[in-house]
Amino acid sequence: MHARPIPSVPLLSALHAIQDRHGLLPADALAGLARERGMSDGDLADFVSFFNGFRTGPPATGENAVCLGPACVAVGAERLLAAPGTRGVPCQGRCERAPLTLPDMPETPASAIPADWDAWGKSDAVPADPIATLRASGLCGMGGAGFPTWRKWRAVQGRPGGDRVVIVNADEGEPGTFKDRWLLDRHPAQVLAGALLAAATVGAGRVIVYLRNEYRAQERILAGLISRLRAAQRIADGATPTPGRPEVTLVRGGGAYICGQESALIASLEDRRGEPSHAGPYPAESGLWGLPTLVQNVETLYHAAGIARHGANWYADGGGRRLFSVSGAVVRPGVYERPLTSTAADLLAAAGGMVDGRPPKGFIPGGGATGLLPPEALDAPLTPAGLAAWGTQPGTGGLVFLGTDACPVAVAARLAAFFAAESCGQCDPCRLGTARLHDTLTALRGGTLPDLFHLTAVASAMRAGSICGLGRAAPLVVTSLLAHFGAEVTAHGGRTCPAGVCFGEGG
Amino acid sequence: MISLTVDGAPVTVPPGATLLDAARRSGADLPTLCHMDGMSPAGSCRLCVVRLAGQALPVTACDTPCAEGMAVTTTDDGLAAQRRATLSLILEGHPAPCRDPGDPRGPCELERLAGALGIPLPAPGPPPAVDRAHPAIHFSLAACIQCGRCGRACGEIQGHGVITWQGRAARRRLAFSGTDSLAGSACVACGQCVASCPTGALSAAVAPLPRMTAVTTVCPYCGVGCQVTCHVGGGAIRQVTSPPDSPANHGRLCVKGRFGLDFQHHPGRLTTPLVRRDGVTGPCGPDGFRPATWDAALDLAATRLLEAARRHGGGAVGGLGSAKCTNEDNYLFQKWLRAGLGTHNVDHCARLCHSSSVVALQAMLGSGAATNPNTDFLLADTIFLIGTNTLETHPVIATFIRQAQRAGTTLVVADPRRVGLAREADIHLQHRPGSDPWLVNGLARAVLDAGLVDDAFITARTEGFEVYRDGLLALDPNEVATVTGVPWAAIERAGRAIGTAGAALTGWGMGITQHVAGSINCAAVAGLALLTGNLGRPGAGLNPLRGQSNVQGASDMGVLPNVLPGYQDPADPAVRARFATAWGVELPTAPGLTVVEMMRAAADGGLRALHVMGENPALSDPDLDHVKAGLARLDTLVVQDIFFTETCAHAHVILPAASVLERDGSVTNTERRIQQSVPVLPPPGQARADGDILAELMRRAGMGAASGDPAAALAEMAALTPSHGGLSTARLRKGDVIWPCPTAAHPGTPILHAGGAARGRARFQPPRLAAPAEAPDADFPLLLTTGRNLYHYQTGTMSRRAPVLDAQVPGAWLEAHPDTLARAGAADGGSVRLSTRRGTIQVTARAVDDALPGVLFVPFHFAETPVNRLIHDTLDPQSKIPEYKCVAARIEPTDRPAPPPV
Repeated sequence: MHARPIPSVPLLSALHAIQDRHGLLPADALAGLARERGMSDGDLADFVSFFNGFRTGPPATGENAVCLGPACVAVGAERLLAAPGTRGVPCQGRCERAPLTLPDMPETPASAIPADWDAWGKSDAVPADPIATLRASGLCGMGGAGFPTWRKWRAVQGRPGGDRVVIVNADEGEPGTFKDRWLLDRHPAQVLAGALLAAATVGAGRVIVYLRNEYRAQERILAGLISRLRAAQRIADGATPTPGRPEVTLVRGGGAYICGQESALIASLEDRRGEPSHAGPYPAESGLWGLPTLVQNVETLYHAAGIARHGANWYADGGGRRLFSVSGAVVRPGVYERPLTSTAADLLAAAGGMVDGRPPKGFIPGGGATGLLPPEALDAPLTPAGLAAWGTQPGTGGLVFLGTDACPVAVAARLAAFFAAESCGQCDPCRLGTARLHDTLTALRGGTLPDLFHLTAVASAMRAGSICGLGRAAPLVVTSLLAHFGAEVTAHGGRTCPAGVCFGEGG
Repeated sequence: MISLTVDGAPVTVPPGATLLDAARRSGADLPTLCHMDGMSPAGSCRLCVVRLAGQALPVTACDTPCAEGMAVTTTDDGLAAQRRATLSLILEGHPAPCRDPGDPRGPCELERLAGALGIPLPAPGPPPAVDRAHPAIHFSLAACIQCGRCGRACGEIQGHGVITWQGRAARRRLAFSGTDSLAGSACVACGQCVASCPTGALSAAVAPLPRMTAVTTVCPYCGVGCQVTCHVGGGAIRQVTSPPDSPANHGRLCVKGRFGLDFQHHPGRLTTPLVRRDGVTGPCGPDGFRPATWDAALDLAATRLLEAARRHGGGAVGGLGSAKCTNEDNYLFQKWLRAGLGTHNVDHCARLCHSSSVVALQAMLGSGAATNPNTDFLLADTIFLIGTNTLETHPVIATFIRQAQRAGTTLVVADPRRVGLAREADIHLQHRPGSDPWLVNGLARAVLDAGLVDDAFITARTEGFEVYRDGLLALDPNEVATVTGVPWAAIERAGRAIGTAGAALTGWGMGITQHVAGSINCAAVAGLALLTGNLGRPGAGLNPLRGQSNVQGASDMGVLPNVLPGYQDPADPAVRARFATAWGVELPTAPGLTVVEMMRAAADGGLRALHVMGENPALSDPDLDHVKAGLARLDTLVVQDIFFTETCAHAHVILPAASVLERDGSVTNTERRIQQSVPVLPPPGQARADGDILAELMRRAGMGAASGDPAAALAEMAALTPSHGGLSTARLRKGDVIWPCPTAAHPGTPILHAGGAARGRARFQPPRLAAPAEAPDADFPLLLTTGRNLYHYQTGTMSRRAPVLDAQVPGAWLEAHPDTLARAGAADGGSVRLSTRRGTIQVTARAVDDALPGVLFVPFHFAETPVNRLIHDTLDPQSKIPEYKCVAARIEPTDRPAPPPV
């Protein structure tokens, strides 16, 4: 793998600059950009059309939108769609405010000083052997895959050659998950301290913060933080990496869930469609621009910074912790840092229980891709082993609780719509399968029971044949619904929605 | 080598092989849809899934590299179920059957696979919507399964990159230049997408017929030598494909080959011999002729030609052979002229294209032909193109060049126009027209200064280096930069790219040959290659890109005034004796005239009779008014052609010929590759093969029972021609041969000068500088250069009668920088009068931002815009090539009164 030429500005950023200026991407500006970057108009159009965040014409409908993420649907967001000129949008990562409507009330203006600047803004002592410390802490990635963090760092550190890249994956998009946004609001300096620690450890001259397109408030926070880090000479001033002081760049994603997947993220930074790569090489061997690359989730870096400062035991004692996003029909939705072995019941208790005081009808254990679980699973530890028994995984730690007035079929159908819309379309099982699953649940909401034989075949083709986790996990939404909410499904087959959400009863 | 097992059986594969390769090698039949040999794997249809021992999930075989010790399982119940489920998904909504019956590609691959896996096809619905707006290619979105093969064919194979994706997930679909409209895209209609499409999504616009017959022959257009498989139904060529293993083109075609062969069926084909009506004088249309029987027409033609030779001597008759006709035809043609009419006045259009290349290469290396195969561009570290708009004139060679560049080859293009590959090049040297000697010798000087000279090669393989080097040292870089308009630093950079390459391959075309300094230019290019040791190796050499399907062969067959077949010297007594014995007649002793010299002699009255076989000097030659005056003055003009050309207007006898797609014979492409061309269709009406016509004429001249049989003609030629001694029609029917091929056992010679130059030591020529014959002045302040367009071919005799081609580009235009137009008071899209000292034509102006100011370009294909009228006929003294590429000119808007003549 030879290194590829490094463009001065990712195409994503160039497009955002144009759209921020004009409100859309004017045709002549696109033509100029294509020329400037030596691309054909077709290749540029291809790239632009991949992302939801870019538009080449004025918006088709009004600006009023309702979030149709699982937390919002669980608390009746679909009813708000009835308002004229209102469109549905995918999960916005603000699940604690469900049901979310857009335009939202303005977020509190970010303070000029990042919340944790005093604690983390200044230079920090780096442990003698950060990788050993991480290893001792047992920290694993918090983005969903759960890979041991120390191994990723060592893999990049051990690559021959000089230049390396650290990417902070802040492209949080898993439905029902908002802990990374929460961290960037409250602990941005600690997150970047983790990134700088990673860069120093693996020898990276560049740090790229890849931020979810919709997180505009957090963009301002990060931009301010980066200026302050520059001023404090903790990072390079300007585009030239300096030894010990990496260049830090903030890149906004284009609005594509799949770009949270690390190879898709890298593709999008290389000005290609955000399609995951098939098999190898791992980013540690050849990642962004062919350089050894460490891609690490926001929360992982947050913990890594804490571990570096306080020692491995600070994290390891009690078996490690993570940030759980808790939303749905709970009293105090929000982010809770709890032991990794917590159960959904623990998190529900932490969030003050269900709003109506009754047991939940069901819950999503770790973000939309982890499917729906019945109340019987409330006491299962949210660990790989604990959830394997229920056919799922801890995912991103995004728990969404469904109250008695929530329809699991509706939640599942909206998630299926989400995966069908967010499939990159590269491989046939996922592109066609997600659409078929969505069709199936849409039909179910219309009273037609699915053909289980067909559905099982589609789901297994997707699980075994999809290129990346999106297509492998997407069937779980349907299969878990069928497995755990049979009565609700059957009722829908009889054109009855027990929660009164489907068939027009709920509006 | 890598050892692994497939379904338990050991398999050994080379490094880089995929599991699909290994599976195929083991005989396992894995289903694939998105995979196509020769392209990068997509791994997207997920049908070729296999299991690898130790891995939980199946992997796709097409994009998984083999590794030592792997244990692969290609089939089990789980895999079978997965394939069936995936294929069922793909098949949902598929409009089966999606291809027309008789499609040369066979039934839809998806439908075939479904059949093989026992999956029922969807019930037929209403016929899907088809986008029929593109003249050559139809697109059915409903039949598209998003395998992406078309996009990779367009991008990776052809390098166009027109077909991409748009949107994602369920909204994902094909995009053409970023839009839904193929017709409105930058598509150049090469049709590679059609060839790669597994379904009926992309199809040729001309529908197939059931039970078409397929005949594979050689494309009659340019010199690349592509094999075309013509699918004939209802008496016409309906579709064209290309065998993937075709040696010169690897299954790639351009728009002319794939969609332009139907010129064949144009109603204007000549189908009966024609004789000028009594009393009709001067140029006339077809109505100036009356049909005649073959006997009458042949008698008349033979009598008048023989009579002219008898009365005025051999010097008063001449013949123009054809780069379109076969080797056998051309051999017989020059034999007819030399032995039948007693003259060496025999030449053809090679005079007008690469005669200067041949002169230079012959003198320096001992052979005038291209040194390396087309595909050697893939092997070069640096490709240097000069004066060739390869993307339009040799589109399939351009695909190899683009492919090489994508794989890391440095592409240097020197051209006064920012032609297609110049835009894509790593370095484009946009030099002033006619400054080539400065530019190329400047590059050599830069190589010298940078210390990149290949001393070992020069010592071992060359002579004359010192004089060459001293000449280079005498060159003033400042003068080079001033004359060429290219900064010296850019020349240095290009020189370094050429000098540092392990292998550099140079390709060139009319941009440097068609100058009074043509031979000087070609010698300079060859000198640069010798200086850097780039000769006689894979990826290293000198490839003049020959323009016509058999221009190499027509030259090889001796349709040249100065040489006999195989470039044998008619002054050599041994050679003379051999031919005299074979032909039963002494060869003429007077030297022959070249094309332009014959036209001049006709105008002067020295040439009384001319026999033209498949050429169109009344449109192709310089200074057309002068040419036409000469043709009009001839006592006898016999024209053999397939259409009533501009030259036919001056003829006395017109003999209708079979096209090259209607008879047997061999053709030699730009690589020296000789391929058998076979009849695809019978000739229309009474049209006859050129060889037959020549045999009839020779019989009338008493040259014995001359036969037009191509196999006999080839055998006679081979026996007389050492470089072609190993050729026979029987051998060519089995496969192609690259000459030199002296014996039947000889395998042919893909790379020339491999063990040393053909002449022994390659001889440097001292660098020389020579300016064009005309310089801009106050009256004619601009420079006019001419050239070709992708969709057309030479004088348009063929391409303008092919509906797809003529629809794409129906007429000529004039390219100029916007400032140049503005200065002349002309507008983009407006009509201008273009004048030189020879005359004036009217043409539509087109502003081109990256044109050199003061430089005009007009394509020469169009009879209604005959730009060659404007070209002077001053010749390169060595090669006698005219200077089409650099003429002083002026333009003014047509709404302004014409200035008085100068």
